[in-house]
Amino acid sequence: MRFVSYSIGQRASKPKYTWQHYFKMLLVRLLTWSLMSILNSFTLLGLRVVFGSTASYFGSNEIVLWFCWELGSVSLLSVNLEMCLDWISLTFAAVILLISSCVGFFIDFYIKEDKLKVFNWTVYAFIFSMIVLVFSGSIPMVLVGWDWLGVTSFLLVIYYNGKKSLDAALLTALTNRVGDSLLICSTAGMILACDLRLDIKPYCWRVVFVMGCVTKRAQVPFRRWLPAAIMAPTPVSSLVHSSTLVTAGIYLLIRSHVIWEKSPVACIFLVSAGLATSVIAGYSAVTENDIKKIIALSTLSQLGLIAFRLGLGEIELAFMHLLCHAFFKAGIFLSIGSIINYGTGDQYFIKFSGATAALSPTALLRLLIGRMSLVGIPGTAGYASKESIVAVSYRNTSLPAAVLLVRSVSLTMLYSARIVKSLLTFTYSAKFDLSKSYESFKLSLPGLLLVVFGLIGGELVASLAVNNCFFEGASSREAWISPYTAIIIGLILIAGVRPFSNNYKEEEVKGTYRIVLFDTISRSISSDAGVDQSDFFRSKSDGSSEVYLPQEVWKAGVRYLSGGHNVAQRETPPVAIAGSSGVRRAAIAVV
Amino acid sequence: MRLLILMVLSCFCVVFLNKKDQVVAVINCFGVWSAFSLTYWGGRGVSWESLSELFCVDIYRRSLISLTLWVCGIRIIVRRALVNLRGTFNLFWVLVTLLAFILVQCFIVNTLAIFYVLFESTLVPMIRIIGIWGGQFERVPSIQYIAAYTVGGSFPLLLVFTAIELHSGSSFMWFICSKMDFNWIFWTACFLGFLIKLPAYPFHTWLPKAHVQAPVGGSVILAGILLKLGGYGITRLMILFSYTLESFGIFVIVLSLYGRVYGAVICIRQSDVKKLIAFSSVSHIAFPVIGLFSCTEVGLVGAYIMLVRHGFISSGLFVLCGISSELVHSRKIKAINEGVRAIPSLGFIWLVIIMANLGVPPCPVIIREVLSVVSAIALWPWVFVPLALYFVLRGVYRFSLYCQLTTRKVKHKTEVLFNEVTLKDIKAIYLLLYPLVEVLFKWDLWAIA
Repeated sequence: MRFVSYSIGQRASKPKYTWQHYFKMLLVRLLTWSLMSILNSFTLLGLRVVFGSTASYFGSNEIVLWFCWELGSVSLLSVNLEMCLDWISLTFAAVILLISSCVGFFIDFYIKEDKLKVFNWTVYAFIFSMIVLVFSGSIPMVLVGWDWLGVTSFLLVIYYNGKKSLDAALLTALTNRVGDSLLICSTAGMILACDLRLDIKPYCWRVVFVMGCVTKRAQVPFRRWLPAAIMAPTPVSSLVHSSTLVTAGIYLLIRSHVIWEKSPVACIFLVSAGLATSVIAGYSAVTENDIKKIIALSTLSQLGLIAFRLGLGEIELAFMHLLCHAFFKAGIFLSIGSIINYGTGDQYFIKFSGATAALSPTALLRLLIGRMSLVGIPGTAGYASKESIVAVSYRNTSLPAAVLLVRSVSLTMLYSARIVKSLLTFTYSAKFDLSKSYESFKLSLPGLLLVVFGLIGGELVASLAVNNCFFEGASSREAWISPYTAIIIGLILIAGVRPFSNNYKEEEVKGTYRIVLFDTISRSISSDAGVDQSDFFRSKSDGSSEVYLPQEVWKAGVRYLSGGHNVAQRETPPVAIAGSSGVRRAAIAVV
Repeated sequence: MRLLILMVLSCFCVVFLNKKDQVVAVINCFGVWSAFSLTYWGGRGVSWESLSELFCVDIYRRSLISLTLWVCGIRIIVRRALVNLRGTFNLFWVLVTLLAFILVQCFIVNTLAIFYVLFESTLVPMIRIIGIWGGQFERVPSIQYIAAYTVGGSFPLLLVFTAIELHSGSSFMWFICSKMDFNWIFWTACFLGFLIKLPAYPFHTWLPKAHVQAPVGGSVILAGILLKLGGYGITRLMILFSYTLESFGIFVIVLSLYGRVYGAVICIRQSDVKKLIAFSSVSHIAFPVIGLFSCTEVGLVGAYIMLVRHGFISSGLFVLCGISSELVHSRKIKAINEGVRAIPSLGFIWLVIIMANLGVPPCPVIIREVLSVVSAIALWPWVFVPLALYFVLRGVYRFSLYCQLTTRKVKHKTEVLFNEVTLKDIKAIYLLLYPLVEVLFKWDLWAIA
């Protein structure tokens, strides 16, 4: 029985420490400490810089590095773990690292101290598996990254360990499991074609492949898991739902576009799934009251747009929108996180109070900027990418598709305007006292950084990495000057019209919905939400008399944008036409 | 032969030790034997070197021998989970060693008649283990099940082997049969016994019963090695009779495709952890059946990865289940949940093993999955639909098992006193997980070329 006493029972039962034991403990501590200090956000940031500069170098010189490790071979097939370093993967890895380092700074303050360690390890495992997926050059490597992503995201969502998060985690894991199974089947199909690289010639299993990618990306048949997965802690959702997990599928599609590009079935599937997702997600976001869920749904609709663009064959445009979207969505999530943190922990933005807003002014500012970028106000990265989507769709698709696209884009405007409006209301009613603000600088810095990157960074990164391949259309005079002129004209007009329609506040909200939604839906919405919204609107009308005009002007501008932006972008028409059509829409919106 | 002599001699030495040291000595012996069996691992083809005409090894035999010795050693390590008082403990290791001896012989023997005798005689120690240390009242019916299925199923095999002896005067395994066309009755007679042993779908009913009744060590050896005997036998007979794609094989593949989904669905509804693992191994074992009967090299490699891997992971699951059910003295998931939450490290190990079983990549399972899907869709492409369904269902029961084991349902603290409980025999799991790494890097070992 000597063996038995040697086993674990001894260590637990005898707390008698010798100096060797202490030495061992010290060693273990030292090791863990050094590992943790290596694995922190600063390292991620440094790696980001390295990757980014390498990406720009590779992009300008058109260098591609392949690393290949042969695992073994059966008959004609050899299974290789391949890493592919080119400007796409390096840029995307740099973006992921930047976002995750910012999120890492945020996590330190957000999660309680005692659980920080386990949580940090899980998050780092998640980031690592994402990086593996990004650098993968052949299907076995993709499977590695893909499965790790599934498991680690499951662990992250289940983190709060409650009933709801349990359901959400199961939903997430199982939907991703569907993707896994389809990907495994398509891998088998690739094996029949005897090549496992990601840029092989088209083969017959590409539809299965595309379907598999679509699951992780939460497109239409599999879209339920993404809104559910916001049960995760907020920093995680900013990481998972903005830059990494949901974009994994898109990234894989971009990477392997040679495979499915020539298949009409796959392309039609992508176009229709993308459109359907973005419109449905837009509708649900407009009717939703949970602020985190709204943002998750808006991610969904943006991803739908990207999928739409992929289906049209605009790979690089899609990649650029992916980058921009990752930046500002992560920033928005972080600012929402701090707002929820300073508030009562309530996620229903109807219930946000002026006190909350006063406590976190920077978060509000970030939210505002992020929203601007998401809406696509000219000058932001969101504008540059979104404008090109709309332009391409006008050129390439049929009329119904274009109409749906415009509808989904304008839905984006609407729910953004809704959030911004509700928060701005409190901003005006609250008394800011920055000296008493509890918001620490460290907590607000990462989000601010991300949002600023979302504002300009997407263009910066893109233009650094590729020599101007994105901005051929957007650099012209019409693309920048005419929208602004149109906006200003619209603003002036609406500022003139506004005083006449002050009395119809309730009607006016319904009217806004009626333009965008179908009539029946809008009626059910306003009657449903009427109970909640009544005090919401009353609180607005209470203390806002002195700051009345600027607020109205802002709202009007946003509303104008919701109608006018896309009209202005059609075929880049002359200023007068764009302005007049925009004004017409704005007038409809007001009346 | 050298291995067998070594086994006998070292067992002989062990007998002379005093009783307390014997267990440790046997465990060490198993370590030495499995290390020694690695010396057979030279070259890919059949190796005749220093083996008598009675025995020889090729790559399938080598891997399965090493697997046998390794898993049997681990089985003695987890003996602490045998907490009931029936029988003496020394009888346990004697039985295990005997079983390992029979199995090793069974894997290296050259003559079909002797193979048949050894194949049947593995039943004797197994039945004694279940009978003596089995937990529940139903152990006698489960013994009847296992005996009836195995003996009854392999009786046609006896007829086949007798016919070979009569026809050719010898049942040497390496002669290739000259007759090329057999009818499906012949193939049924050949493969039925092995399919039951595996167990393939319609004949799987004995497995959950046996697993539930058997002690932890018994389940480990049952899942770890005895099931592999079926796969090995199928491979041998296929080579002997130069089996090509037949209607019988297609029929078996269809059945096991169905049985795989069926097993996964059963797993989702289980509340008994041990039964869940048993059914999951039923649905897993359908992979080697598909791989072997599809007659492709890819399928063969996938099947052997599956067999070896299943030997490690499934026994790991059984060991873990034994450890955690020993904490709470129940096999129900709800009860085990409390035990797992009392010891956080146990939850992590559950996670690792469940994910390994699910096929998360550092584990060779993913390669095996891809390969067997290839061998299936090479027959007919639309097979991928039930396969994908199966993958999803497997994810369902694995993830929900993990959730049920680790998450908290009730707010109040559990009232069972877990403070005094320490984890026993957790080392066995590390020992079981280690060889998986080796399998990962040598996964194309079983390829023919």
